[in-house]
Parts: sequence; C-alpha cells; structure tokens
Amino acid sequence: MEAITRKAVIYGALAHASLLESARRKDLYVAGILAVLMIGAAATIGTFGVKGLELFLKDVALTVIGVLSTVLAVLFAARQIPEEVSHRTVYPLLARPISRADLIVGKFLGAWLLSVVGLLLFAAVAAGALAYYGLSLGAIFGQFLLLRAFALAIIVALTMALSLVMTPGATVTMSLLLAVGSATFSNAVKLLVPSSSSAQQVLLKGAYYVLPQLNLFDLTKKVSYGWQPVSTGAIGALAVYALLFTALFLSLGALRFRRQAL
Amino acid sequence: MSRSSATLTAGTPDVLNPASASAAVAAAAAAPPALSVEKLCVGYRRGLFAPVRRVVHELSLSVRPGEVVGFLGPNGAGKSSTIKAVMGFLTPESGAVSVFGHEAGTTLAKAKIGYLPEVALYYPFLTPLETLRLYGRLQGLGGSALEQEAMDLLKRVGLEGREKQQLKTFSKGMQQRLGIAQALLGSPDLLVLDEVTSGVDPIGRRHLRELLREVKETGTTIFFSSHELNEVAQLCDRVVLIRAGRVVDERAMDETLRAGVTSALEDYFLQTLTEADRDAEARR
Repeated sequence: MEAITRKAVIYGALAHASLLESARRKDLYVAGILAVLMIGAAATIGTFGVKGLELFLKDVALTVIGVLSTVLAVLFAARQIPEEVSHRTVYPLLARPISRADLIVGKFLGAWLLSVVGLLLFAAVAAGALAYYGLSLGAIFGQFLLLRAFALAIIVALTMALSLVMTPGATVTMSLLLAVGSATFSNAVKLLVPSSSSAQQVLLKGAYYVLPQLNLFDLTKKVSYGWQPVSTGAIGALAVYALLFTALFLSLGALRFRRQAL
Repeated sequence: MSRSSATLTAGTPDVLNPASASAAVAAAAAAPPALSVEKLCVGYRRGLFAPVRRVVHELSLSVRPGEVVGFLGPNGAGKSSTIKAVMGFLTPESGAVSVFGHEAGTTLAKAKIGYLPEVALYYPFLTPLETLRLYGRLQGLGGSALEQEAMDLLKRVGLEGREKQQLKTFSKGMQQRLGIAQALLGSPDLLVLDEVTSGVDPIGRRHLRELLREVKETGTTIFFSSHELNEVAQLCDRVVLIRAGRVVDERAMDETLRAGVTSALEDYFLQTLTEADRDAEARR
C-alpha cells in the first residue's frame, strides 16, 4: 500500500509540474485560438441559415473536436521527454529516488490531462456554437468525449514511445499519420484481405491487430444522428482496450529509455 | 533512517563500555564506503555501427563516509562521465559503482544522494518554491516539513524573497544557488556536485563555499568536481586527479598543498598532469 501511495505521489508531482509549466507557458492559448476559429467557421455557415444543415454542422463540429484534440495531444506528448533531455531538466529529476519508468508515467499523465483539458475546451466551444443555432448533441455526447479521452491516452502513450526513438519532427508526423489514418488503415485492410494471398493476409491481419484501432473510439456518426448512448459494457471493454494499448506503448517507451545514456 | 539519526546512533558509542566502543569502531570500519568506483569503463558510440570511443578507463576510487573529495582534471578528462555513471545516467561498459553499498542508479542509491549537475537547468515557468516542492515530493518528503525545509534552504542559498519569482527571470548564478538548494533537500548522506560554482560571481562563490563548509561540518560526504582550485584547497580532505579517463594521482590535502592555498594546488595539478603526459608519451 505504501509503495502504491509513493508511486501516486511521484506521478502526481510530475504531472502537476507538467500542467503548471504548460499553463504558464500558455500552451492552451493555442487551443483557445483554435476554438475561436471554430466558432468563426460555424458563424459563417450560420449566416446562410442552418435549416437542413444540422447534420452537417454536428458532423463538422465533432470532427473538428476529434482532429484538434488529437493534434494537441501529439504536440504535447512529443516534447515531454525529448525536451527534458535537451533542456537538461532531466538530471535533477532522475537524481531523485525514482525510476526512468516513473518519469515516463508521470510525464504521460501530465500530457494526457493537458490533452483532456484541451478536448473539454473544444467540446464546450462546439456545444456552445451548436446551441447558438438551437442544436443539441444529446446524452451520447458525454460518451463521445469519454471515448475521445480514452483514445487520447493511447495517442499520448504512442507519441511518447515514438519520441524516444525518433526526432521530434518525425515523431509528430508518424504519430499524426497513425492517429488520423487509423480508420483509413482499418478500412483498407478489410478491403484488401479477401483479395490477398495467405501470407499477405497474415501480415495485414497482424498489422491490424498490433496497431490500435482508434476508430473504435469514434462516436461521431452516432452523435450526429442522435443515437441512444451505447452500453456501459461496450464503454468498459473500450476502457480496457485503451488501458492495454497505453500500458503497451508506455512499457515500450520505458524499455527504450531504461538504458539510454543521458 | 535519516542521516542525522544514523549519525547519532552510530556516532555516540557508550564510551564507558570498552566492548561497546570497540564494536562501534568495528562497525564503522565494516561500513561500506560512501562511494565506491571499481574499474569503471565508460564509452560512447556516435552511431549504430560506429566504434565505441572510451572516455573512462578502468577508473577506481573510493570515498569514505564524511570525507570531502575533490575530483580534478582538465576538460575532457572524464569527470562528468564518471559522475554520470555514479548517478546512473549512463550504463558503464564495465566496472562497478556503488553508493553506501547500493548499486549506482538504483532508487536505494539515489535516495542517499544530493546531486548538482554541471549545467543546472530548471523549469523556467516554475518558482523556486514550486521547484523544491517538486523535487521534495520525488524525494519522498511532503507536508509542512517539506515547506519548512524548502523555505530554510532558499534562505541558506540567498534566494529569500524570491520564492514566488519564476525561474525564467533568474540569472545563471541564481539558478546555480537553487541547484545547491535542491541538492541539499532531504539532507542527503552524499553530495555529488559537478562544477559547483560554475557561473557564480565571486561573492556568490564565497557564499557557496561557506555553505558547503557548513554542510561538511554536519558529516555529509561530499564528492565534487571543480576547476576552481581555491575551492578545492579550502574544502577538500583529499583530491583525486584524473587525465584521459585514468586516475593519475590521489592524495590527502596535507598542509603543503593547503599552505599556499591556490598556488600550491595549482603547482601540484600542473606538475602531475605534465608527468602523466610525459609517461603517456613515453609509452607510445
């Protein structure tokens, strides 16, 4: 129990420092500006009247929330460890009785919480803009946000793992490709498998199951069409799926970082 | 157990009882060294297929508890690489490093160490107090005791009144003082200082020297590298001189070296390095 409390204190301290640093660095101003741009875009469409465009507006708002929160998460996560090393702030941190894995988990929590704050900011702006035109997103919108938060955990962990083997530019590019192109990749695999040879099928299916299926966390269409909330069981299963992939990527990152000379 | 309580229990034997006194002496003799480096080899590879460039060659040294040891050598001698191996920041090619008997780099070893990096940089948007709170929590401290200790340390290093100022406004010297404060957090048993007065003005340097002397008087072991021979002469019990990753000499800071303070040590430093260069040339 004492060990768990100790870990919680370490992770909390590291995450808190990341959040404080980002807040004072005005990182979330970027999110704020992007959110204002969203309102501006919605207002422009609104001037033409929203009758018959409800579905389109909802779809656009939700897609923007998804894409922008992903971009922010990747940008936050990509710099967590590389900046610690290049700015040499990593030395006094790792001189403390903590492991390198602790540092990765603490930094992950900071980046993830920051991404969730960005997500909620976008969500508030989008909901406000839609409400202005008399549109509401229904109860399933809460689940949409929850699943986005799960997906962001995977994206942040994946980006942090990549940041330990790639340059910052390559990390951002690769992470965005994997995060945004996940759905396209899944659809491509489904299309290609029937016409592939057995060896190719093994490779395609292998890649399908090894890479996280982030489209599973996307409720955009269901929210747009006003579906009823999905079952708690499905949400729970997705939470486990996200936890497993997050743990996998963080473990890979920690393995890489464990013996890296600083 | 904290250092102060350990010092009290180990350092106050019952002098009226000869058996107890001799047991205490035996225990002290059997105690592991504060820092032990045995045949340490450190190398760097500048690419996947590039050959390893070795910068530390079978370096061995030992620091007894309570001792203050200066680690000297010209630029590129391997001082920082050795210190990084002590801190677990790099994995040695071979050799063993331990801190009070614990393998270097482990949380047990790091719990005993206060470390000041060569170039100390901290989060620019945090205040000194927030910085010390962060390191204190990672150290396992907390609550009002941490707050009190952080405030005391800021006062000791001359940063009183600047607790709430963001570090981005701090000069290099002020950051170095904060570095000393974070290294002293939690009263470590061993202080490892890499270029302790780097970037500090003469007044600040004197202040730091006095601070380190106070720390030394509490029985804390100090292992530090420095180019400031004046500091080394005034603080150290012993000096270890390295060149090209090898120990070329080590000796106690006797009165001869201490007498002329800087000049005597400077002569020793230059003479020993020149001899080492001559030997290396002869071997070639």
